[in-house]
Amino acid sequence: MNKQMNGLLYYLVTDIRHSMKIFWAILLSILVVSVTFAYFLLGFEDGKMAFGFPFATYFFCIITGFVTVKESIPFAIKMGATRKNIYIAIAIFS
Amino acid sequence: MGMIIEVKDLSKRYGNKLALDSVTFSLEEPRIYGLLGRNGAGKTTFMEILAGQILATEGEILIDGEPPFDNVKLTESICLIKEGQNFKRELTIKNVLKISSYFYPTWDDDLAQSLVEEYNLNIKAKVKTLSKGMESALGIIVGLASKAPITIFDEPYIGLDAAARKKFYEILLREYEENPRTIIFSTHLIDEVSLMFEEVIILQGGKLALQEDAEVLRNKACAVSGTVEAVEKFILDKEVITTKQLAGMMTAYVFGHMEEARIAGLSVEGVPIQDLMIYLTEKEGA
Repeated sequence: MNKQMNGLLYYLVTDIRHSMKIFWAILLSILVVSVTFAYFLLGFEDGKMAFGFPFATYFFCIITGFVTVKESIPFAIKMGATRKNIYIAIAIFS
Repeated sequence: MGMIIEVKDLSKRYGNKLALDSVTFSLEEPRIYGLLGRNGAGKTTFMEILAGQILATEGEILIDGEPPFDNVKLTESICLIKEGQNFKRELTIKNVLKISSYFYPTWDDDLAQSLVEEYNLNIKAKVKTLSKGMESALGIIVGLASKAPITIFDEPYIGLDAAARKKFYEILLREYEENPRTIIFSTHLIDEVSLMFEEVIILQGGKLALQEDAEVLRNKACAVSGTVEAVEKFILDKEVITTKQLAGMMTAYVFGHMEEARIAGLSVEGVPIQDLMIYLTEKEGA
């Protein structure tokens, strides 16, 4: 792997770290709150509680993809990355 | 060893607007080139094509015989620092320096660290928290520490105070002396940096208005003053840039003939590069 590819991967990881932390912090706190509520509320009857991650992660991926195309690719081009390397780096990163 | 840049019939069109119109010239030595011109002259477009970031509509730029677009061998030898928004705002200074070190094989980390200290930047600060001047300083640090064989500064010091700009010029010259490379410098503060230029390229309306050795230019262009009759007689068969008249006196800006003017009894003065750029671009119909 060439140095430029390393640079692109380092950039993509660094760039997403912050939003990833926020996303999972919000999602996991909602999960904790829901489970807590469920624990207290479901105790009275024979009920069920379901909590899914898919839609939240779909939306996160859509937004991340949009930001990548809008901001990360122009930045990588400014830094001198070739289109081919950008494409491969994003593919590996995804 | 410097890289040879050949610009051949380069044109770039944005919709109906022609940003560059059949520009042809070459830069053959590692020197400090001043790329000058009025707003909208095509300087930034030229620099973006040179850095391999965009494609020309017609014509080509060859660096050591190869086009720079999407050419990793060349793009890692070219560092373009623009007037702003060079880096993503969420990144920290440390991230920016680390990323740059991957992109430029000639990266000098010690120099980057010493410049960060010299410009009093906090390495952990995010780009979005920096003032305009600090952001410009970060661009300058990356440009200098990249040690790229072709380093391009496009108005790199927006918001930088006079002291910080002076420091930048000193460091740039010091680095250039230690490690000669092609530096292309575009600025509107021409008076401040004109002594640094070794060669001057002036673009006007997308066309090349002038390419000349700065020293030759300084010695060649002169302002000749005297009575209207005397000056008119003197400039009759000469290449005149522009003339001004006031209260029976006339000043003509001409190329060469300094001695001849002195002999003719006219007063002769040198023309600063900034004034020359203004007169030349006015002449071209700005």
